Amino acid sequence: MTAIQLWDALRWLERSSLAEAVRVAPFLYPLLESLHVLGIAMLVGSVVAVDLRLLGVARNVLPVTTVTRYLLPVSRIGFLLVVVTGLAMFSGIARAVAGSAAAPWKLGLIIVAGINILVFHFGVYRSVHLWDVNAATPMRARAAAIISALCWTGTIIAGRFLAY
Amino acid sequence: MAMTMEGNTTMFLKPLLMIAVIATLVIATQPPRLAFAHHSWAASDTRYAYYIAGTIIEVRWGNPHVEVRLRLDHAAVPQNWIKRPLPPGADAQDGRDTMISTRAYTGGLPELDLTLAPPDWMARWGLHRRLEVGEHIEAVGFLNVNGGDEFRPVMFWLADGQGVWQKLLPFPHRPEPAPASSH
Repeated sequence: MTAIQLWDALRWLERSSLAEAVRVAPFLYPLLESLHVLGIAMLVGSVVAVDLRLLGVARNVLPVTTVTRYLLPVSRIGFLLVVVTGLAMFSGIARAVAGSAAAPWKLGLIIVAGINILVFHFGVYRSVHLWDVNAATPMRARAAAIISALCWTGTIIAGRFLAY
Repeated sequence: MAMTMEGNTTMFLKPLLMIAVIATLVIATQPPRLAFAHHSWAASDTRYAYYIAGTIIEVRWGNPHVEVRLRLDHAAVPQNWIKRPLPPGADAQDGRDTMISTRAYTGGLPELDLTLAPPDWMARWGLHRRLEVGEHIEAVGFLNVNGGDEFRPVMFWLADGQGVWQKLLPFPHRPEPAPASSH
């Protein structure tokens, strides 16, 4: 796909009835923005709490598996919410977003965060029973926690630079 | 065994960690070069206000901002410019300073992209309908600090003389008075 084809596709998206509704339907845009913020709170709030546990906070009190069992579902709902509302708002101003210098950063950081999740879950997390509670978390898990917190923080910053 | 695992991990995770750190640092340290901040005036050179007039050739009405492409007349600043009343809802100081700073646009571009307030704010400032292709408007505002064809009006006027205020947030720099011959 050439750059011009991509531009035409984005223009088509902007002219779609979905994009038109996002731009002009009464209260829809502020509602999408509000749900996007709520999704960020659920996603990043719960993720950072898990990251803190992986970094050793409350390690003598809270098993890692308890934290992940109750918080990761919240982060998944949050992620779903930000993706749906984010794509809807993107459709309204697709070309302006695509032309922004912050866009590749935001997308890139989300991809790095995603890779980090896969590496963590299919890697060191398999041995979580060995360091669930009353134990230092392995270096790999702590590194994953730092990457996670940095990526999501960076995504929020990039998102604000992207925002109209 | 533990040593080996630790070694592999470091090899695998270090690049990822570095990407994240670099990405965050780069974003955090280079705001002025990003084409951001339509919400604020940070991307506009608010020292010099320009008068433009022309015909609307494209409108994208709606949130988060109305955008209009204007084919310019390359008109001079009108007679008695300074005496023109500010639009309803205008901030007196900012409006006056912008009027005093106004000079004719001599940038040479045939068309400019105007970033305007969203519909709700348009209505609060007295415009209760869409702008349409083919309408003639006048505007005074600022160009982007990085050049290009983006123009941010502080206020604009419809063909029937109705003025519409556009400014909510503070200017990063006060508008400087235009040379005496400009008006």
